Amino acid sequence: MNPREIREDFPIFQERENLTYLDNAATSQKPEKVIQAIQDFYRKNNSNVGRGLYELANDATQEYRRARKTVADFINASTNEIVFVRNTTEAENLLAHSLDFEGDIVLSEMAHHSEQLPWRRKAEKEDKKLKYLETENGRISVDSVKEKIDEDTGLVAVSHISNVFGAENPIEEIVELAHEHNALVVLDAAQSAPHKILDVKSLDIDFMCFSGHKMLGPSNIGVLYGRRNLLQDMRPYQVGGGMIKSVQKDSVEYADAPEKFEAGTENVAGAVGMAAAIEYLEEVGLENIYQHDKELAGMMIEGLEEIDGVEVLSPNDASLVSFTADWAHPHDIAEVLNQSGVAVRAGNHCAQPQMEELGITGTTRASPYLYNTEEDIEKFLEAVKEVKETFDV
Amino acid sequence: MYREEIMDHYKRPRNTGKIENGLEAEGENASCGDKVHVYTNVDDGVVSDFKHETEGCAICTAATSILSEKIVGKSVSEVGDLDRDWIIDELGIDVSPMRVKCAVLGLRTLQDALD
Repeated sequence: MNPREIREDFPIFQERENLTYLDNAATSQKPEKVIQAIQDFYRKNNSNVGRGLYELANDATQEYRRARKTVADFINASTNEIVFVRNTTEAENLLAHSLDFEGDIVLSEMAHHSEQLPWRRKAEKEDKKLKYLETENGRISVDSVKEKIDEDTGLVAVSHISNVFGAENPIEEIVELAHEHNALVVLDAAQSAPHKILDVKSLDIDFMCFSGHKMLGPSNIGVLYGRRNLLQDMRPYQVGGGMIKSVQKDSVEYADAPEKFEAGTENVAGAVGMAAAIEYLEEVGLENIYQHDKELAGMMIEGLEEIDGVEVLSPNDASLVSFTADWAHPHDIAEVLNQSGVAVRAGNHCAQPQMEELGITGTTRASPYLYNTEEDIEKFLEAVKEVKETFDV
Repeated sequence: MYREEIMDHYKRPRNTGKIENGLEAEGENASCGDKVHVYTNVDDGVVSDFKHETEGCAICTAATSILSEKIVGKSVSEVGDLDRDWIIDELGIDVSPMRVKCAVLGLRTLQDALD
């Protein structure tokens, strides 16, 4: 793959020629193909789906179904296992609200707030115990997995790739041990879906969530995957139109999954845009993308480690880099990088308990994607050296 | 944005330390980890002394340091009327929207202490 050619597919880089965008773990830029797909939907096929009996409504419904099929194929699931939601946060909240299970909850120290707060609220409401898997060198510690997941565990919710460290967690070990104890596994794939081929069957997970906007799609469209039988047994999240079989004055029969969880008018254009994004990623090839992102992250790690006072928190095989510097606060680093047109994220990355555990207030995080080039990385490293010159005197 | 005077205040913040038996307050920006502890004394309705312990970014530290040089001699009600525009003006730089909370933390914490 050629990132220079790929870059040309993204209009934002023509609008902002000086932009070195390295905040892809927060959100990605959008290729022309995705922008066009959304526009085409509104120009040619816009209608409510699943209701009208006219041709236009049929076309819109077909588009929405096609989008669901594209997502299902992308993760090797069936279409009735794909629920469209707003984002990963909504998927986690939906699950915590609608899923009943016996036993306690295991989370991780490194968890993004969206992946711990819904479960913490559930634990409080239902008087369940909470345990936290510890972090070791930027990953969930396997020892801690063995120690914390036991016969009392009912559900384990973890990230595939942490948004703080960018490294893959030992999902195989977690799933195996959880299933040994008949516990369910919820995988937050928000950071892995943009880079990695995900196969829910070989991962053997029970639920998985990810967001469209981090993988070249539009905002406000995301996916909750759930095993068919589990989704069928779950209570609805929101109730209203489009999610029922029948409503009488004194009774309601809900639709089957996934419609049961999609009350109200759906984000059809969003789903269509997300499907276009998946097609784009598949054309480039996710293996190539992951390889590329890791190479660029590796360049950054190597370059940063040569700078005095910098501590890299990401493991060497991560697909992004989080670091601290003893000569400047993360927000000051990000602000000075911005003066060179380099966009990175600084702060606690919605993982305050993990920051507290590390004894820091935050990190600076640079996260590459398919359109970033080696020149972007050189520019980033140069800019970090300039920050040091300003601050370390 | 990081002009010389700001960097000077960041590296050598003025009037740091504690005042025993005076008024004090602590402030924090949880999202970025800036922490300020201010100590002050009031004599006849006028701020007579001010010290601070600041742990934070350049903007937060410099703003609190500059505040410490401007605040003694002002009446409590004058200090109560100071707003974010005043401290940003004293900093003399363009503060981006995300950093306003860093710039105002020292002032807001002082206002808390005097409240």
